[in-house]
Amino acid sequence: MKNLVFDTSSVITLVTNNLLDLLMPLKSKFKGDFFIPKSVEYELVDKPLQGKMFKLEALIVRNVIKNNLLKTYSDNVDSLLNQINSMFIMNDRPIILVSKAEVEALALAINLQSSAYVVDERTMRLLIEDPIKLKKLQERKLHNKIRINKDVLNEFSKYVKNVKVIRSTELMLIAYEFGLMDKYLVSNTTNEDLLDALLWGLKLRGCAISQEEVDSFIELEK
Amino acid sequence: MEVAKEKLENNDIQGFEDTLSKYIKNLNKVHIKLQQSIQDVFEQAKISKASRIHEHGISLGRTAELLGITRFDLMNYIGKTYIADAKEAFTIDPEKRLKFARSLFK
Repeated sequence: MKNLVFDTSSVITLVTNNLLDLLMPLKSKFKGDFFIPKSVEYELVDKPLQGKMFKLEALIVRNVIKNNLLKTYSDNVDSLLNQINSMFIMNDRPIILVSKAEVEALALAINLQSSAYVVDERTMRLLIEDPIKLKKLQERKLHNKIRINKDVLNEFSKYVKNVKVIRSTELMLIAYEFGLMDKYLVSNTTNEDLLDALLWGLKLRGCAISQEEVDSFIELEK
Repeated sequence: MEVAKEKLENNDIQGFEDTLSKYIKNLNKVHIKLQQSIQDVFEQAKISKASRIHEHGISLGRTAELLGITRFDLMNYIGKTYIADAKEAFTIDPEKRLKFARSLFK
Protein backbone atom coordinates (compact mmCIF):
# COMPACT_ATOMS: atom_id res chain seq x y z
CA MET A 1 0.00 0.00 0.00
CA LYS A 2 1.33 3.44 -0.83
CA ASN A 3 2.23 5.77 2.00
CA LEU A 4 3.56 9.16 3.09
CA VAL A 5 5.98 9.68 5.97
CA PHE A 6 5.72 12.89 8.00
CA ASP A 7 8.49 14.66 9.88
CA THR A 8 7.72 16.55 13.13
CA SER A 9 7.89 19.91 11.35
CA SER A 10 5.07 19.27 8.88
CA VAL A 11 2.68 18.01 11.57
CA ILE A 12 3.49 21.04 13.74
CA THR A 13 2.66 23.39 10.87
CA LEU A 14 -0.68 21.64 10.37
CA VAL A 15 -1.75 21.47 14.00
CA THR A 16 -0.74 25.06 14.82
CA ASN A 17 -2.78 26.22 11.82
CA ASN A 18 -5.77 24.14 12.94
CA LEU A 19 -5.55 22.14 9.68
CA LEU A 20 -4.84 18.68 11.06
CA ASP A 21 -8.43 17.54 10.51
CA LEU A 22 -7.84 17.84 6.75
CA LEU A 23 -5.55 14.81 6.95
CA MET A 24 -8.55 12.48 7.13
CA PRO A 25 -10.17 13.48 3.79
CA LEU A 26 -6.71 13.79 2.23
CA LYS A 27 -5.87 10.27 3.32
CA SER A 28 -9.06 8.95 1.72
CA LYS A 29 -8.19 10.67 -1.53
CA PHE A 30 -4.58 9.46 -1.32
CA LYS A 31 -5.76 5.85 -0.75
CA GLY A 32 -2.75 4.99 1.39
CA ASP A 33 -1.26 5.28 4.88
CA PHE A 34 0.37 8.16 6.75
CA PHE A 35 3.28 7.30 9.04
CA ILE A 36 5.48 8.95 11.65
CA PRO A 37 8.38 7.32 13.52
CA LYS A 38 8.25 6.89 17.31
CA SER A 39 10.75 9.68 17.98
CA VAL A 40 8.58 12.11 16.02
CA GLU A 41 5.67 11.10 18.24
CA TYR A 42 7.87 11.97 21.23
CA GLU A 43 8.55 15.46 19.81
CA LEU A 44 4.91 16.02 18.92
CA VAL A 45 3.25 14.61 22.02
CA ASP A 46 5.41 13.58 24.99
CA LYS A 47 7.75 16.58 25.05
CA PRO A 48 5.15 19.39 24.64
CA LEU A 49 2.89 17.65 27.20
CA GLN A 50 5.57 18.48 29.79
CA GLY A 51 4.83 22.22 29.40
CA LYS A 52 1.77 24.43 29.05
CA MET A 53 2.44 26.37 25.87
CA PHE A 54 1.69 23.63 23.32
CA LYS A 55 -0.09 21.11 25.52
CA LEU A 56 -3.37 21.44 23.62
CA GLU A 57 -1.64 20.83 20.27
CA ALA A 58 0.06 17.77 21.78
CA LEU A 59 -3.33 16.39 22.88
CA ILE A 60 -4.79 16.99 19.41
CA VAL A 61 -1.88 15.16 17.75
CA ARG A 62 -2.13 12.34 20.31
CA ASN A 63 -5.76 11.87 19.34
CA VAL A 64 -4.86 11.72 15.63
CA ILE A 65 -2.25 9.04 16.42
CA LYS A 66 -4.69 7.13 18.62
CA ASN A 67 -7.18 7.08 15.74
CA ASN A 68 -4.49 5.63 13.45
CA LEU A 69 -4.66 8.57 11.08
CA LEU A 70 -0.92 8.84 11.69
CA LYS A 71 0.53 5.39 12.27
CA THR A 72 3.72 5.09 14.32
CA TYR A 73 6.72 2.97 13.45
CA SER A 74 10.06 2.34 15.12
CA ASP A 75 13.49 1.71 13.62
CA ASN A 76 17.17 1.82 14.58
CA VAL A 77 18.95 4.65 12.75
CA ASP A 78 22.14 5.20 14.76
CA SER A 79 24.49 4.49 11.85
CA LEU A 80 22.62 6.82 9.48
CA LEU A 81 22.57 9.53 12.16
CA ASN A 82 26.34 9.22 12.59
CA GLN A 83 26.83 9.25 8.83
CA ILE A 84 24.88 12.49 8.31
CA ASN A 85 26.47 14.15 11.31
CA SER A 86 29.96 13.47 10.00
CA MET A 87 29.34 14.80 6.48
CA PHE A 88 30.09 18.50 7.04
CA ILE A 89 33.38 19.45 8.67
CA MET A 90 34.53 22.83 9.97
CA ASN A 91 37.95 23.39 11.53
CA ASP A 92 38.55 19.61 11.43
CA ARG A 93 35.45 18.97 13.54
CA PRO A 94 32.18 17.47 12.28
CA ILE A 95 29.09 19.68 12.43
CA ILE A 96 26.24 17.91 14.21
CA LEU A 97 23.50 18.86 11.77
CA VAL A 98 20.40 16.81 12.52
CA SER A 99 18.57 15.04 15.33
CA LYS A 100 17.55 11.43 15.70
CA ALA A 101 13.86 12.13 15.04
CA GLU A 102 14.62 13.78 11.70
CA VAL A 103 16.84 10.89 10.62
CA GLU A 104 14.28 8.33 11.79
CA ALA A 105 11.64 9.95 9.60
CA LEU A 106 13.96 9.94 6.59
CA ALA A 107 14.95 6.30 7.19
CA LEU A 108 11.31 5.34 7.55
CA ALA A 109 10.46 7.02 4.24
CA ILE A 110 13.22 5.00 2.57
CA ASN A 111 12.44 1.68 4.29
CA LEU A 112 8.74 1.94 3.49
CA GLN A 113 9.49 3.13 -0.07
CA SER A 114 7.19 6.05 0.59
CA SER A 115 5.64 8.03 -2.22
CA ALA A 116 6.98 11.15 -0.51
CA TYR A 117 8.62 12.41 2.66
CA VAL A 118 6.61 15.34 4.07
CA VAL A 119 9.06 17.74 5.71
CA ASP A 120 8.79 21.48 6.36
CA GLU A 121 12.25 21.70 7.88
CA ARG A 122 14.81 23.45 5.69
CA THR A 123 18.07 21.68 6.63
CA MET A 124 16.77 18.16 6.05
CA ARG A 125 15.24 19.18 2.71
CA LEU A 126 18.51 20.76 1.60
CA LEU A 127 20.47 17.69 2.68
CA ILE A 128 18.30 15.48 0.50
CA GLU A 129 17.85 17.79 -2.48
CA ASP A 130 21.00 19.91 -2.62
CA PRO A 131 23.65 19.42 0.08
CA ILE A 132 26.04 21.77 -1.72
CA LYS A 133 23.58 24.61 -1.17
CA LEU A 134 23.55 23.75 2.53
CA LYS A 135 27.35 23.96 2.53
CA LYS A 136 27.19 27.37 0.81
CA LEU A 137 24.61 28.62 3.32
CA GLN A 138 26.80 27.55 6.23
CA GLU A 139 29.91 29.10 4.74
CA ARG A 140 28.09 32.40 4.18
CA LYS A 141 26.62 32.45 7.68
CA LEU A 142 29.63 31.14 9.58
CA HIS A 143 32.24 33.06 7.57
CA ASN A 144 34.29 29.91 7.53
CA LYS A 145 35.28 27.20 5.06
CA ILE A 146 33.22 24.00 5.30
CA ARG A 147 34.63 20.74 4.00
CA ILE A 148 32.36 17.89 2.88
CA ASN A 149 33.41 14.29 3.44
CA LYS A 150 32.85 13.17 -0.16
CA ASP A 151 32.71 9.43 0.58
CA VAL A 152 29.97 10.00 3.13
CA LEU A 153 28.14 12.39 0.81
CA ASN A 154 28.23 9.92 -2.10
CA GLU A 155 26.94 7.12 0.08
CA PHE A 156 24.21 9.35 1.48
CA SER A 157 23.20 10.62 -1.98
CA LYS A 158 22.79 7.03 -3.20
CA TYR A 159 20.73 6.23 -0.11
CA VAL A 160 18.30 9.12 -0.63
CA LYS A 161 18.22 9.18 -4.45
CA ASN A 162 14.61 7.97 -4.64
CA VAL A 163 13.28 10.19 -1.85
CA LYS A 164 10.80 12.82 -2.99
CA VAL A 165 10.16 15.71 -0.65
CA ILE A 166 6.94 17.65 -0.30
CA ARG A 167 5.94 20.14 2.39
CA SER A 168 2.74 20.80 4.27
CA THR A 169 2.31 23.63 1.74
CA GLU A 170 1.87 21.29 -1.22
CA LEU A 171 -0.43 19.01 0.82
CA MET A 172 -2.63 21.93 1.80
CA LEU A 173 -2.69 23.23 -1.77
CA ILE A 174 -4.01 19.82 -2.81
CA ALA A 175 -6.66 20.07 -0.06
CA TYR A 176 -7.54 23.54 -1.36
CA GLU A 177 -7.81 22.24 -4.94
CA PHE A 178 -10.08 19.41 -3.77
CA GLY A 179 -12.36 22.04 -2.23
CA LEU A 180 -11.73 20.81 1.31
CA MET A 181 -11.46 24.41 2.50
CA ASP A 182 -14.50 25.80 0.73
CA LYS A 183 -16.28 26.08 4.10
CA TYR A 184 -14.11 29.14 4.76
CA LEU A 185 -15.41 30.93 1.66
CA VAL A 186 -18.10 32.87 3.49
CA SER A 187 -19.26 36.49 3.09
CA ASN A 188 -17.03 38.20 0.56
CA THR A 189 -14.03 35.93 0.97
CA THR A 190 -12.52 35.15 -2.42
CA ASN A 191 -10.48 32.10 -3.38
CA GLU A 192 -7.45 34.36 -3.59
CA ASP A 193 -8.02 35.61 -0.02
CA LEU A 194 -8.30 32.05 1.21
CA LEU A 195 -5.16 30.98 -0.60
CA ASP A 196 -3.21 33.99 0.65
CA ALA A 197 -4.35 33.31 4.24
CA LEU A 198 -3.51 29.63 3.94
CA LEU A 199 0.00 30.10 2.54
CA TRP A 200 0.93 32.88 4.96
CA GLY A 201 -0.46 30.87 7.87
CA LEU A 202 1.78 27.95 6.91
CA LYS A 203 4.81 30.19 6.43
CA LEU A 204 4.34 32.17 9.64
CA ARG A 205 3.97 29.03 11.72
CA GLY A 206 7.23 27.54 10.56
CA CYS A 207 6.99 25.90 7.14
CA ALA A 208 10.18 26.71 5.22
CA ILE A 209 8.58 28.43 2.26
CA SER A 210 9.84 31.74 0.91
CA GLN A 211 7.75 34.80 0.15
CA GLU A 212 8.66 34.32 -3.51
CA GLU A 213 7.24 30.79 -3.42
CA VAL A 214 4.06 32.04 -1.75
CA ASP A 215 3.61 34.57 -4.57
CA SER A 216 4.31 31.97 -7.21
CA PHE A 217 1.78 29.51 -5.71
CA ILE A 218 -0.87 32.25 -5.72
CA GLU A 219 -0.11 32.88 -9.41
CA LEU A 220 -0.20 29.15 -10.20
CA GLU A 221 -3.62 28.70 -8.60
CA LYS A 222 -5.21 31.61 -10.54
CA MET B 1 24.09 40.00 38.80
CA GLU B 2 26.88 42.40 39.82
CA VAL B 3 29.14 39.43 40.56
CA ALA B 4 28.29 37.90 37.15
CA LYS B 5 29.07 41.22 35.46
CA GLU B 6 32.42 41.42 37.25
CA LYS B 7 33.32 37.86 36.20
CA LEU B 8 32.47 38.68 32.60
CA GLU B 9 34.56 41.87 32.68
CA ASN B 10 37.49 39.83 33.98
CA ASN B 11 36.98 37.33 31.14
CA ASP B 12 36.19 34.60 33.68
CA ILE B 13 33.65 32.77 31.50
CA GLN B 14 33.40 29.72 33.76
CA GLY B 15 32.87 31.97 36.80
CA PHE B 16 30.22 33.95 34.89
CA GLU B 17 28.34 30.79 33.91
CA ASP B 18 28.53 29.39 37.46
CA THR B 19 27.22 32.64 38.94
CA LEU B 20 24.38 32.76 36.43
CA SER B 21 23.46 29.12 37.10
CA LYS B 22 23.33 29.82 40.85
CA TYR B 23 21.16 32.88 40.16
CA ILE B 24 18.70 30.85 38.08
CA LYS B 25 18.56 28.10 40.74
CA ASN B 26 17.76 30.72 43.40
CA LEU B 27 14.85 32.11 41.43
CA ASN B 28 12.44 30.00 43.46
CA LYS B 29 13.17 32.25 46.45
CA VAL B 30 11.71 35.34 44.79
CA HIS B 31 8.04 36.23 44.39
CA ILE B 32 6.15 33.80 42.12
CA LYS B 33 5.20 36.50 39.57
CA LEU B 34 8.71 37.88 39.33
CA GLN B 35 10.02 34.32 39.12
CA GLN B 36 7.66 33.65 36.19
CA SER B 37 8.66 36.86 34.41
CA ILE B 38 12.37 36.13 34.73
CA GLN B 39 11.89 32.57 33.51
CA ASP B 40 9.94 33.89 30.51
CA VAL B 41 12.85 36.17 29.64
CA PHE B 42 15.29 33.25 29.80
CA GLU B 43 12.94 31.09 27.75
CA GLN B 44 12.55 33.75 25.05
CA ALA B 45 16.32 34.26 25.00
CA LYS B 46 16.79 30.52 24.43
CA ILE B 47 14.30 30.50 21.55
CA SER B 48 15.90 33.55 19.96
CA LYS B 49 19.36 31.96 20.29
CA ALA B 50 17.99 28.73 18.81
CA SER B 51 16.62 30.54 15.77
CA ARG B 52 20.09 31.99 15.11
CA ILE B 53 21.63 28.52 15.29
CA HIS B 54 19.02 27.18 12.87
CA GLU B 55 19.63 30.13 10.55
CA HIS B 56 23.24 28.90 10.27
CA GLY B 57 22.09 25.58 8.81
CA ILE B 58 21.60 23.35 11.84
CA SER B 59 18.28 21.51 11.70
CA LEU B 60 15.29 22.47 13.84
CA GLY B 61 15.38 19.16 15.71
CA ARG B 62 19.07 19.40 16.55
CA THR B 63 18.73 23.06 17.57
CA ALA B 64 15.74 22.37 19.82
CA GLU B 65 17.69 19.48 21.37
CA LEU B 66 20.72 21.71 21.99
CA LEU B 67 18.74 24.44 23.74
CA GLY B 68 16.28 22.16 25.54
CA ILE B 69 13.17 23.69 23.94
CA THR B 70 10.35 22.07 21.94
CA ARG B 71 10.16 22.18 18.15
CA PHE B 72 6.78 23.91 18.59
CA ASP B 73 8.52 26.82 20.36
CA LEU B 74 11.13 27.08 17.65
CA MET B 75 8.83 26.82 14.63
CA ASN B 76 6.46 29.36 16.12
CA TYR B 77 9.39 31.78 16.32
CA ILE B 78 11.25 31.12 13.08
CA GLY B 79 8.10 31.50 10.98
CA LYS B 80 8.20 35.21 11.77
CA THR B 81 11.80 35.58 10.60
CA TYR B 82 13.29 35.64 7.10
CA ILE B 83 15.17 32.35 7.56
CA ALA B 84 13.09 30.54 4.93
CA ASP B 85 13.80 33.34 2.45
CA ALA B 86 17.56 32.70 2.28
CA LYS B 87 18.61 32.28 -1.37
CA GLU B 88 20.15 28.85 -0.67
CA ALA B 89 16.82 27.51 0.65
CA PHE B 90 15.40 27.30 -2.86
CA THR B 91 15.93 23.84 -4.37
CA ILE B 92 13.10 22.72 -6.65
CA ASP B 93 10.78 24.83 -8.77
CA PRO B 94 7.50 25.27 -6.79
CA GLU B 95 5.38 24.33 -9.83
CA LYS B 96 7.33 21.10 -10.32
CA ARG B 97 6.96 20.14 -6.65
CA LEU B 98 3.25 20.91 -6.72
CA LYS B 99 2.76 18.85 -9.88
CA PHE B 100 4.49 15.92 -8.20
CA ALA B 101 2.26 16.31 -5.11
CA ARG B 102 -0.83 16.37 -7.35
CA SER B 103 0.31 13.16 -9.04
CA LEU B 104 0.22 11.37 -5.66
CA PHE B 105 -3.51 11.97 -5.39
CA LYS B 106 -4.52 10.74 -8.85
